[in-house]
Amino acid sequence: MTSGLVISDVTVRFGAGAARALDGVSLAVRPGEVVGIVGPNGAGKSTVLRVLTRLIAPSSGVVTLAGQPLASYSRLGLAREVALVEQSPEVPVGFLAREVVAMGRAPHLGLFGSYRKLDDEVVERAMAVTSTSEFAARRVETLSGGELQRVVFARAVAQEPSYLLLDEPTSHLDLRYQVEVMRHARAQAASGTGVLLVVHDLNLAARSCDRLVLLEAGKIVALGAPDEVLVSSTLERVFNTPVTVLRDGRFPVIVPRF
Amino acid sequence: MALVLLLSALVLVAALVLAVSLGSVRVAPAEIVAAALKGINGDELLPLDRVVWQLRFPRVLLAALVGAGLALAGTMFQGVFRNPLAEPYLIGTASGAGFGAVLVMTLGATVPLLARVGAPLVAFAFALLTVATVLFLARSGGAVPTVRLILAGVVVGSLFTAATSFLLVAAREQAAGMLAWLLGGFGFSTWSQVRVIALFTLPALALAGAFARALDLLQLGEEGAALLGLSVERVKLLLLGVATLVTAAAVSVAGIIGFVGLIVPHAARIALGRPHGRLLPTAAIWGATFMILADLLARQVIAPVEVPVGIVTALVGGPFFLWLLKKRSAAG
Repeated sequence: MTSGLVISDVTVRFGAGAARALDGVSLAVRPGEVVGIVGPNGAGKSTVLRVLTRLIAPSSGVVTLAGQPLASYSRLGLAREVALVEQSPEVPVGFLAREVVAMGRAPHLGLFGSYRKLDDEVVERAMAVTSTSEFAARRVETLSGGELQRVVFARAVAQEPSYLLLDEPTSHLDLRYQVEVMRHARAQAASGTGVLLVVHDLNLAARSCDRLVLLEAGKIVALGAPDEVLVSSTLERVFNTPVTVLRDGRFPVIVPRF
Repeated sequence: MALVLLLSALVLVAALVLAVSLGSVRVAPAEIVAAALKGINGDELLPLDRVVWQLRFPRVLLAALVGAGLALAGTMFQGVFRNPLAEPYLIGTASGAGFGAVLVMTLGATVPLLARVGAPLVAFAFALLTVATVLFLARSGGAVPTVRLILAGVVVGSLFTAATSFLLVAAREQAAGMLAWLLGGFGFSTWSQVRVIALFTLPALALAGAFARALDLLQLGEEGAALLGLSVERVKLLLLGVATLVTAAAVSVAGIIGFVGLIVPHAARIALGRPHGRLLPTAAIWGATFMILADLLARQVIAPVEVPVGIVTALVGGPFFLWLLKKRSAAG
């Protein structure tokens, strides 16, 4: 259990006596795999990502990165290893898209280091692979929601983390860019990055993830390959909605009935 | 960017020369250079040289340093609070510093300790107290909403203004002089004041520049900044401390001068965007230029009577700010 980003038996309570946002959750992301977290609203999906980036301290349980407790990392050291693309990130008004992506280099520069040619290259590559180069010179407040989401994704790519956490990275994107982001997540994994993403679209999850975690009310109710998790009886109970599971080659296709 | 800085620096030098040359006696640029050379070398000064070197130079340089300092502090407060209305004057810092400085002036003779610590540091202590109080009152769930920040700033500022007024009334015969000082001005500038303020302002400028990227990251919100490796609380405390110190130093020599910390960073931001690497030096240079010209206007407009420079900055800055606001909302 030394490699990977691992949470073991983690419970999170927001305030004493409050309901458990996470309840005894154990989960590991290994280098090179894409793990998807699915589940109903309020199941605790984003909370898992926030625990893994130390934005929230677990009430109990242990989180480790490469075998070391997460708490033993400095903020800077953690940012070099783990990147999180938040669901609704703050828009830094007055910056160009390129400048926002370049902020992804901050963990590698420290407080006072200056940009080098290498950093410029990383930023350029990150913008190229996320198809954001075309609006590099536009102020971010003039971008659409989807364009902004891609810029923030590009920043996480420029961060060159060992683990990339994405909180609903496709929520504002049209079909083409949904596929593109997922393809890019897979490409990152292929080059050794561990990817953990929260995703609502079960079909997108089925196609892009090696493993899925189904959360319900802070507990893991299913964990395994998409085929094992996306089972109609489980989904119907957890989402309280009748569904039909079809097949498209290797992939399950979930169709709600109403 | 480099071009903007260069042009701004040239305009600053031009304003400096203009402000030294104009006054009750006009001095030609060649005479200014001659007087400055004599002053620097410690040569004997003729009466005209004395006007230039001992009156106008300290006055103009002090205005430049105070203007740069207030613009710098405004940029930093706005960056840390992520709030375009955060300004040394509006959030009460200047009022707190003013109280501290007046305290030293009125009680310095009877409480030697106060005089020994000195007006800048006592002003700093009260400015810090103001910032801490305003932050404590305005903070809500980790964020500092605009309305709460300004409300808390105005109320805490009013408290200190009232306390300052009380000290002034109690001081009786000294009151008129202190009031004139409090309204803001550079009428009594000396080289030793220039040295003290330079000692506070120039290192603060360098420090702020070194933290330019941290200020950029703070624009992503506290969580966004932390996710990119910033130790948010530590950096914020440091930056607030520096901005407060610069404000206090400025207030302790020049009284309370509003609007500079608000309009100068705002104008620079509209022209150059947000990245602090270019925003901070530009705002500092523009602030220096603005203050030199405002002080020039203050001593020329109804000469030989001097208008407190705080009145000029408010009269010029207020409409300018409203125009900017209107223009920006029209641009969407």
